[in-house]
Amino acid sequence: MAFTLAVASGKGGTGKTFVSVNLALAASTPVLLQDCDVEEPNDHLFLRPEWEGERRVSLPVPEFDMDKCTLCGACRDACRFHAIAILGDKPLLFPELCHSCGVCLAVCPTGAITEKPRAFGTISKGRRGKVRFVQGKLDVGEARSSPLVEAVRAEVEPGLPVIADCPPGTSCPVVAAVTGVDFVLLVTEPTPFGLHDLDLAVRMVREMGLGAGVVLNKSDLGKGEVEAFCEREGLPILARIPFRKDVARVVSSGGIALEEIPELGRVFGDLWERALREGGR
Amino acid sequence: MKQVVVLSGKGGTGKTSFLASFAALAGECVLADCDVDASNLAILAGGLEGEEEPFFGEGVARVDPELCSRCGKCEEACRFHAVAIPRAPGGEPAGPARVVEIACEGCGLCGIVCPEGAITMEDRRSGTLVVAESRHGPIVHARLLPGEGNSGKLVTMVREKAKGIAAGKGLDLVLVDGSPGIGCPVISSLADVDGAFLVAEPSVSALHDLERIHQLLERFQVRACLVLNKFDLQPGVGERILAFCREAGIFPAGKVAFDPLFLEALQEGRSIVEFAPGSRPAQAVEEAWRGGKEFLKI
Repeated sequence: MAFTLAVASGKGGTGKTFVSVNLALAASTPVLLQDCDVEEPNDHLFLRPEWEGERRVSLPVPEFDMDKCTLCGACRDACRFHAIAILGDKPLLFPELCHSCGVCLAVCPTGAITEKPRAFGTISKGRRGKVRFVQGKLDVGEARSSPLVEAVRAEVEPGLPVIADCPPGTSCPVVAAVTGVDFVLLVTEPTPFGLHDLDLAVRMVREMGLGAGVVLNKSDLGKGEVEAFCEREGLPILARIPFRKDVARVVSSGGIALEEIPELGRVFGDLWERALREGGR
Repeated sequence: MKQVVVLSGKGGTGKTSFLASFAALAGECVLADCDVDASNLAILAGGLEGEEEPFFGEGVARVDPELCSRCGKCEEACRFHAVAIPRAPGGEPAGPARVVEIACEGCGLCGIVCPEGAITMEDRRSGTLVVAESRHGPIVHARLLPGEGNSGKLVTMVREKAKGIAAGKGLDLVLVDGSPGIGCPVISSLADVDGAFLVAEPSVSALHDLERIHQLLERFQVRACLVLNKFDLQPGVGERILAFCREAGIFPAGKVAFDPLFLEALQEGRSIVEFAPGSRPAQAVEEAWRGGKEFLKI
């Protein structure tokens, strides 16, 4: 398997997208960038890839054959996600709640339930120069993003190293994004919020048995608490990126920081090499 | 009782910083921190420690190794690859079925298909709910255990608790701090609220994410107003955000300039209106609160 690096954070807005996109462009070899933040995918705003195609992603949901359904309610009672109700003379599905687990099919005594695919998001692919790109975009109103994250992660190309830009947080969508990666970069900022959420992210990563290193964004703003935490936890700080108004301006207008501020090219180039080494490559 | 949620789509735009100020300005109210993945409100508002209550999310499958016949029906049925029979190199079963807890969604299918009745579902402790006192009134926050699912259910529990406390104490405002994104915890945090404050920065990412959270709010028919944070950092993009708001019917409640005082206040664990009352940023936040309050009729 090619090297796979996750970029995660716990707290939102610490610079995951900034790090992922610039790292992909600075890497010494062609890479595949996967935007796994399917609720709010932003990598494309910066990468501006040439799009090469898209497809809808579906999951199976139950369909009821009313000639066979006796309204017994076994499916409703067995569904642990409360996705089925019996209303009057027919079963009613709440598709956003359905986990596509297949329990309703298994318990239906009359074989009245079959499955049909239901689309809930879109996967798009593209490229920019040597960077291959894939993103998932969850339909607005859909609650469950993890299955789409898994679908994005499954989009790999033989031999191509992967950078997976993860959603914020520490719960199931993030777990889906970091499953199977070789190493996790945790992007944080030196504020009490950043530190608190870094602690949670580190615990999640450890629980999953993954190695991690820290990228300290806006590194000049803090009082050393994050560094002290990393020291205690034995977490390497792999890059420090000081706060600069010119970087903030480039990023907020959708520009590529390392193209406009050349010294960042070295920062991200070094970060890629260190991530490879830390990840055992 | 009115419930107001603060959301943004994009993370890190300033939701929690503003909400802590709104709480200080509102007089006594109940705070509900619904960013259960990364709950930060108590760092700014006070009330980190309090009375704890366990949260049980979905169940998790347990295999009785004595009863398991290693037939593999559970492994075949499970769609989440969460239960497997250990196998010797030749493929023959080498032990009773094992559950991969982090992959288990708790659907119970394995127990249904098991011919030996060897699998049962057990409650799984997925987090902790905390009820405490902030400087501005009661606060409810929660910690989802890292890697756990079902944050929507925990968000609903936080909100129910907050509503109950407000009703019990006769408080007429619940301020809800939402999480980034548009998925399950966000949907749970905006169900039947009376209005939303949206927080955006002048960046292309924030605008893109604002458009998506706006679509979600429309779907749930939630009225929204906007606070534009750090508007002076990229005025051109700021104008595009305000133009989007006009088109979308989002009320522009206020604009707040970038100011290092916010960071100082955060380092001290205070909201800006408490840390530097009367300062320019504090006044701007206060204006946004008044404007939004009037628009949302709270």
